[in-house]
Amino acid sequence: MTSRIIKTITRVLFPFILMFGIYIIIYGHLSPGGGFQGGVILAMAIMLVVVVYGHNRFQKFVPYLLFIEIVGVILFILIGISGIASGRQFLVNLGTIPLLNIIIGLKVFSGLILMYLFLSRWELKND
Amino acid sequence: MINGLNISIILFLVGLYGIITNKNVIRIVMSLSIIGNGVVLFFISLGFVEDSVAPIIIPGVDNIVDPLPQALMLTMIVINLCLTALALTIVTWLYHEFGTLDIGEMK
Amino acid sequence: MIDHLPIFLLITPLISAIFLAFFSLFSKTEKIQKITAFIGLFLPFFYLVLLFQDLSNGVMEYNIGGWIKPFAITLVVDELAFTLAFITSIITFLSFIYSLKYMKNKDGKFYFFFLIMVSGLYGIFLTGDIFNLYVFFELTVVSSYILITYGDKKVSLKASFKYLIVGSLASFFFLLAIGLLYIKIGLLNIEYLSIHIHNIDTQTQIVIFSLFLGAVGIKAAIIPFHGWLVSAHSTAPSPISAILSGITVKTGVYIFIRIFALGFTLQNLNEMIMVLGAITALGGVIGALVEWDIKRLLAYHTISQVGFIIVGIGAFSTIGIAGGIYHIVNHAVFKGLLFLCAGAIIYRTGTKDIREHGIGKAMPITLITYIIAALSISGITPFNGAVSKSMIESSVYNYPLIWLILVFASIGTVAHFSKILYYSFIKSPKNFKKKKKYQEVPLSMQLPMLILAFFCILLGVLPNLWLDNLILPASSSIISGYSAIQIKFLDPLHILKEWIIVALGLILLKVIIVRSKDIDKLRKLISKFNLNTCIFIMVITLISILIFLKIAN
Repeated sequence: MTSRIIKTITRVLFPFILMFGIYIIIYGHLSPGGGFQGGVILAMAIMLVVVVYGHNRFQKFVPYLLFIEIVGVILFILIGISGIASGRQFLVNLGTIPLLNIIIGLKVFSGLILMYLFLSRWELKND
Repeated sequence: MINGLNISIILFLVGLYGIITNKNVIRIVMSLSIIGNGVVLFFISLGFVEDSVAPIIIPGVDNIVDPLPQALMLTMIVINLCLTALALTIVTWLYHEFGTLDIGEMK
Repeated sequence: MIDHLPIFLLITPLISAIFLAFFSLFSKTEKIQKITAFIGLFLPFFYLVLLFQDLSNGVMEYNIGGWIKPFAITLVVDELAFTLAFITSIITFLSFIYSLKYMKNKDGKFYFFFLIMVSGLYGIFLTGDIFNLYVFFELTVVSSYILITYGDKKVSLKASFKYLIVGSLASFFFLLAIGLLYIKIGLLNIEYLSIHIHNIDTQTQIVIFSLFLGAVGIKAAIIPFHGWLVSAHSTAPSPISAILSGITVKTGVYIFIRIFALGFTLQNLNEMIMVLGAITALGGVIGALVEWDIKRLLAYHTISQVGFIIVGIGAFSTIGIAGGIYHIVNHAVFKGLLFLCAGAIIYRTGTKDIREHGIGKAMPITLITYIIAALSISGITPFNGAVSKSMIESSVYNYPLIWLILVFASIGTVAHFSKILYYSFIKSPKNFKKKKKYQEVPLSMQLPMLILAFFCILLGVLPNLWLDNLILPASSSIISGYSAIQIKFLDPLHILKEWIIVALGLILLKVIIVRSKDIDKLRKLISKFNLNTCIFIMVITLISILIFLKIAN
């Protein structure tokens, strides 16, 4: 995993994959794509770097990713309850679908990276 | 003869055969994932209409395929991802407790 | 605000779980996590009390997202959903109080998954859309896979893996059936489906019904599909076992009621379902003959009681269906109580084998509540099991063979519960020197057991109160127009039948104790079932059900 060619290509490719992922999230309510798909592509960009450069240096980001996930769910339910507060049912379309897409994209991104970081701790214990 | 419905039933049966006759735990989880993909293909090919295009709203286009099964399958792919992740976590834990990946040996 | 109560019922455990995760990021103390979980489990009880007064105006519906009725995801609250949601709120709240002292040294993640499982359970009972049912089912079942692994490490991991594979297979069968229904009818609302299902041709109806029966059979543990249940329910921690055996198995039966109410126009359906139920009722009791582990015994009896419920529903008469639904409620109460008692015994003695318990009178509250629960499950008169069991048995008088099998299952039930009573409480253990001083469990574990025992007595002494207001309107979801049924409280014929069953059961117990070496040889035969054999038997049974329905139509 540590040859020079792979490290250089990863450094070159990384911003393009990020940009493509953000494009799919934001343009998701009009064309194929949306929250989940864009979130997976964003996570793949970061995971390329984690696999190539070793997962030990990325363990310190775990509390921040947990924070993003939990705040994401709270915002989602708040948007739903604001549908009730405005006199109609739960989760009506008040023009907030792009915002929901962005929240889901962030949640999926942080969730997939957290899965990889937690699973790779099993190897840390055996070293 | 070769349309989406028949291929999805073949995938389902291949995955079922894989679950019944495999001893390695990781291969059982892989067969479960194959069954999941077979069901996704089944749903999407249910909504097929002859001579129509993808369901994107473009002015002037009238005959589109049924978009509802595709929306349901988005939910289902997410749930299958969570199931596979949980199954692989339990497999890793089983390997650390028992030291083997063979389901007959873990007694 | 009353209009929005169904969605609040779903959201409150979820919000409570998220706040629990949020607080656990900042502080490591457990007090605020427990307070959040307590609020999240206590509020749905109030919502349900408020909903009950609204229920007399008719069925309450709620569309999510502001769409109109056939196209929206609706939440439907009728009497059947209300009854099951009410019993869920009581049992999960009491399990939570029990688990505060039972689960030592666990961090907040246990309560997080507990709350998500409770939220999924409410979602299953309240939804009116068939794909939404699948989503909430997956939510409940995934969190229960995780919660099972909190027991003893090695056996619970194996049990959880087996449950994972088999449960996912059930979900895939369910999805195939939903797909076939959608392509023939066009919408996914359950009420709309039940109006239009007679338009489908018979061959497709056979395939759809077989796939549904496969999915429901795996989830509700009918006999050819039961391989996962015993190890999963016996290796989970005790409060989780109470919820799993009491509520999660019943979600399979609830889906079965809703699908049966869709109105498939096939012949010979009733007889096939009653035969499957009778085989299940007897098979659970036979499988328990060789066991000496207290939680495995209770898990085998769950299979047997679910067989009773399926027989009651398959009989398709008013008294049968009302008996089946009433037995769902009763079984949740007394099986929860039995698992909590077993947990109390394991908490004090540290072993699961009943030959090593020998507690005697050192734990009086556990002894009294165990006796109440054992009398309920055997069907003795003042307790709640008697009412529902006699209703189910009186609905199959036209089929004498099935009635006889149910009586044998009752005899076996009496024998096994007397066995547990004799070995755990009365007889001294084998190695007499190790007999420690056992004292009673702490107060927060005694309180749920006492409340559940009180419910056992209450549901048995006043059956007409519950039947008229809740159970009989609930049975109108399948058959339209019910006649009022009066249950005579002290019917001499039923009491005579019960005492004959008790006498025969005690004779069977003597046979088991005397011949225990021969029975151990049976154990080697039953314990050969691993994962591959279970799934192979399931697939063969499903294909044979398909062939049988094709021949009969």
